[in-house]
Amino acid sequence: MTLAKLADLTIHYGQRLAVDGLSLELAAGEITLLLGPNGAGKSTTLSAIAGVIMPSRGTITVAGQDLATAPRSARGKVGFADQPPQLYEFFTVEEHVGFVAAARGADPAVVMATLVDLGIDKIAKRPCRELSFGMRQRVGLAAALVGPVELVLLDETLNGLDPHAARAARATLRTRAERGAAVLMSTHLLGVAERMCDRILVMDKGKLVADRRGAELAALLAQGPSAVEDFYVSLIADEGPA
Amino acid sequence: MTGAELIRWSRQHEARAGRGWWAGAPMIAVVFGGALAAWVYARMTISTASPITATAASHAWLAGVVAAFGLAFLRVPFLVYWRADAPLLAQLPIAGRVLFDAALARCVRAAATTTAIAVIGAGPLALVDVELALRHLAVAGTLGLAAAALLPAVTVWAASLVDQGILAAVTAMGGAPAKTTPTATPAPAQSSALLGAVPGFAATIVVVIVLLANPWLVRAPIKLSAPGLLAALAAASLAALAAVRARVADRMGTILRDVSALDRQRLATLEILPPTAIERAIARLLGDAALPYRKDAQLVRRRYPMAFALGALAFLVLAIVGLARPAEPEGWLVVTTVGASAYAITLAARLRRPPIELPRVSATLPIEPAAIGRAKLAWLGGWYAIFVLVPGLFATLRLWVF
Repeated sequence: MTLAKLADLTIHYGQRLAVDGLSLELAAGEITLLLGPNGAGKSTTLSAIAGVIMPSRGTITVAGQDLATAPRSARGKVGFADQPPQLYEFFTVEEHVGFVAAARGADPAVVMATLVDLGIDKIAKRPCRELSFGMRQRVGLAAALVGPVELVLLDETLNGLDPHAARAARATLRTRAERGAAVLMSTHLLGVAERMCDRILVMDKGKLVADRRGAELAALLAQGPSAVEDFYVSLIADEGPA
Repeated sequence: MTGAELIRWSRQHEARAGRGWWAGAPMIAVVFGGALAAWVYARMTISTASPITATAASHAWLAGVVAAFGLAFLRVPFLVYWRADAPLLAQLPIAGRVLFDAALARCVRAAATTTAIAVIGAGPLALVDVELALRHLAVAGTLGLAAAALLPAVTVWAASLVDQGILAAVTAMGGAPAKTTPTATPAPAQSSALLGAVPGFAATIVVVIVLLANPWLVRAPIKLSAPGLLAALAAASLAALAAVRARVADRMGTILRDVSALDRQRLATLEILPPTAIERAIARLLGDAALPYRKDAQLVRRRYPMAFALGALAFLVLAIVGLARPAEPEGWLVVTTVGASAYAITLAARLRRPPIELPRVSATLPIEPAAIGRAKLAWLGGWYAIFVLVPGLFATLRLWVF
């Protein structure tokens, strides 16, 4: 089942074209990795789906609702972990995640359950402003997951997590996907791709240059431990940041 | 790096972060100075020229100038060490004296803007009596010198006490025994508060001296020598700056580091309080704006506690004016309401910026932008009603109705 649909998504930053006519569909129950060099347009794409920036052209539909015409109900189904995580510095972890949950109309009980899932319930009472980089990433992830979220967008959120935290995050994301959520995450950690993804998208210069899923992806992963890296390098020329 | 180079880098950064010429210092001076001049002129022309109207105009000018310099004095610690770039500057191999000079340059620029407001505001007085206008300019100049030299000197000196651990020791001697428990971690909150309180105390002394010289502005009898008082204040400002620059400026890097660390520790400790009855009552009226309202109220209480301290001060002044019914209450009423209104405008801007508002987070949540706006309006309206409108109405009724 298609949960989100991007049609001809085009985004300009002034004169610069950041995303160039991107069209794709995200399916429920699928974890999709968005790869690409720095400046490829990954974060811009995620921000647009989250409703943070407006596209210059094209449409974004989440759970059948157009983000432009029904932004409120569409946003209620989207959880976005920004980079860097946007936290209310003067809230505690529990308060920050609690606020996001309340905005999504979620039961307050889900707040602590989400913190437990991600192994951050012990820091629930700590102010966000005193958290380390990795802890902030985990709180950002908790805020993205809390409540009735159907589409999870993660912008390099797994970077900086210790092995236990990364494992808890992967398990939680897999559980969410099994319950019907779609996960779209950008990362440069190609090992993560090999371990947890159902689909790989590669972007370069604002365009989608590769899309692998199902049997194609299985065949790629079967080529060995560095198969994804080799595949990526074969697609993207090393030209430095755009 | 030399002082000039650091100042040039800082200016470049400020220019990039600036909001355009219309929010720059010259425009601020012209707009606020013009508004003050208009008010002074209005007070001067309420009836035909007479000593009484000159006094009323002078009082109006003084009220505006004290409010403007009050804000300028309050800003000094934020220009010196409570800055976002303080931890970074403290890490870099920049000489303390260079850091001190850069901070001083910021204070001098801010003082010059405020002095320009006072000078422009005194313009109408020159139309009727040049000597009268010159007296006001002397007060403006003295206040400007205090904002540019005395307050930065006192602020850096207070921070040097933190650097030496003296503030912590004084704090411990002053109040710790009653509150200390064997397991409690010493909270640096009091030391950090004193960093603001010491310059605040110096600012109060400056304002009191200017108020003592007030009769001299309109040639009224005065027991003290007003020119002597003003000259002493100017001399003290220069002497304090020279002394601090000679003895403390070299430690400016350490001072920045210690104050940043202290501030970070203080801000790391949040006081968790439930919403007040008033906040709960307002939230109940707001519908879908209740959630962002509760969030704003909680965060403002933690991040900007000064809003409540200054609000309480305005409340007290207005209540006392209402109870005491002084012979000339207009100055008090105008200074308090104008000052509180100016601060409310500052608060309105803060409510729309991090850490109170995170636009990228709000944009991803199912909350209407209109509800976010209503929440902020409700908080600001509540603050203004409680601290200004209610006591202001009480004072007005006591003075002119009952």
